[in-house]
Amino acid sequence: MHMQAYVKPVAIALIMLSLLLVPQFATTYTTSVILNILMWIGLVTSWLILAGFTGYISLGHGAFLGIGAYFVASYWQILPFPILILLSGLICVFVAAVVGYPVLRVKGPYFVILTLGLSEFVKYSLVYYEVNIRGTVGRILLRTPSLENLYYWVLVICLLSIATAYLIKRSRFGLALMSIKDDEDAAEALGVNAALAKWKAFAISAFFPGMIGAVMAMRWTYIDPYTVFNPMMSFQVTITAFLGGIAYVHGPIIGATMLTLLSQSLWARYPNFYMIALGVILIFIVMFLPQGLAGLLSKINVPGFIKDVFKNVSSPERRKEL
Amino acid sequence: MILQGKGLTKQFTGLLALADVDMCLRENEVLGIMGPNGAGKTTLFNLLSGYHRPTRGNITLLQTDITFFKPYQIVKMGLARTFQLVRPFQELSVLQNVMVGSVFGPGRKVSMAEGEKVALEILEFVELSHRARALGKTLNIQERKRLEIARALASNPRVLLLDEVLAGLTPTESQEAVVLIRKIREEKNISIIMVEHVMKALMELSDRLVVLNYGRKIAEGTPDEVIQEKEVIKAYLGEKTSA
Ligand SMILES: Nc1ncnc2c1ncn2[C@@H]1O[C@H](COP(=O)(O)OP(=O)(O)OP(=O)(O)O)[C@@H](O)[C@H]1O
Ligand SMILES: [Mg+2]
Repeated sequence: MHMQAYVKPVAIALIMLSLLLVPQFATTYTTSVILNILMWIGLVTSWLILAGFTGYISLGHGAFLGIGAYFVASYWQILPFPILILLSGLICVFVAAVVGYPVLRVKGPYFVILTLGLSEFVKYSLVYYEVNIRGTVGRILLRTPSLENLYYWVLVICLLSIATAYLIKRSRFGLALMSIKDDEDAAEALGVNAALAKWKAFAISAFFPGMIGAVMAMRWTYIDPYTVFNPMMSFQVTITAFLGGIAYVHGPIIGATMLTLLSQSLWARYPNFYMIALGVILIFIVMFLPQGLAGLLSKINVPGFIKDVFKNVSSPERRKEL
Repeated sequence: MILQGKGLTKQFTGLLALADVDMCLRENEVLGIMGPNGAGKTTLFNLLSGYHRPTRGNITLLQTDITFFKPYQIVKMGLARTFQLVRPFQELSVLQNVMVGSVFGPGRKVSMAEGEKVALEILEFVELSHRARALGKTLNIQERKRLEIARALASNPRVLLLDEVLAGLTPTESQEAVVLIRKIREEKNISIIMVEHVMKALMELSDRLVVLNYGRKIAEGTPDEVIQEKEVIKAYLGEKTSA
């Protein structure tokens, strides 16, 4: 019992320490793989701030990544990098706030399709702008920060998104969101302003992909609308979330690690096979693993060192349920 | 007068669910609403609680015109409701279920700590404390109904609308629920409107009764007066006989 209380903080501290030391000791290749994993964890965790708490599945998350990337590309070497990252996040919050208010009134599958449509709309508007007004297709970024520098930025953003999810979970705001997920009408009957709560959650969740997009543009060094607004990004966020289990905070961590390693080993040599694998995984989760891998772990009672955030009741009661 | 509806009318496409109904609720009163299936009872509740906008008519709660208020605003004004189809938040614990009401229901901002304290008191009041940590989806019918009432009470309302909270209960459970409703009335300063098919309970609990049929108010008065009325007898003849 008492030992257990120390296991978690110690494990978390050790993991944090090793994450901090990665760029110092690991090879460039390993560092970039871990950077990719952290990117996906950040993307998926922030996506879950809306989807995990309220059940609203957005296929537009990748669009914020693109907006962040394009913003940073436009002002690179004009403004300092940290300011650019922050501004990219804030612009996405603003965009989410503007489109979110009408869009979040739409429910169920219509919401899903609408978010996908909107992000495609952003993509093609940008293609039009780039081709007809700027006369370019893509942009090349020069004098980008070092891999190590980018790694730390992604690490910070990733941890920030996890911390945000935790804090929301414990707050009044989190309670409002979780009640909406179960029954929006009943939530309203009890005094929850559902429209406002969803709107806030959507805006907050857009902050992180905006910042991640800004950092990743520096990593990619070349961006064009087709790649940074590729809907596959949004699909993969969703698939990763479901693979990991959308009810748990370590869900994104498990899901992102698995998929990144899978893509790392398959993508370069057999790109089509990777897509097929994604499809098969998706079918498999829907049919056999609705709680994701994290749900599976909790079922076989492996002591999870990070407590479930998106699940509404702490583990002992929960385990009995499963 | 704590709550008043004037000329309440609700037209759904091709169906007049409620036609020109006047109703009022006095301080500390239990008003029973009866009527056959489809008479418009739930529709009346949906109008009063802001779920539907009336096609015509207006609603006044504590001197404020709430006709066009949203559901979450109306709770904060002091009117709470239960749903005919009880809907606990499945994935939330019973305590969290009630906390949604105690944290967001009142007109002022309530912290999580205070909301939890109030929720625990309410669970004690409805005798559901032993299930506080269980998930909403694990409750049986009786517990669900109690939770539904507890959540509504948690907003500290002046007016409580109960939509068939006895339906689906066994006679014993039903009697226990009647005791609870009486307790709410005696220990809390709350006026109640209840829709019920269980005639015996309605007669026992109500100070006044309103009878709806095909969306119209066909009778109003004390329970004894109302059951004498020809219109009421006619509306109920051949209807299913209730316990
Ligand atoms: N949202 C809606 N859209 C269309 N018609 C509706 C809607 N809600 C209710 N109705 C119709 O309005 C009429 C009154 O329904 P209501 O639910 O108010 O009846 P009720 O008196 O509560 O009946 P019950 O005893 O079965 O609960 C019914 O014919 C019903 O089908
Ligand atoms: Mg009804």
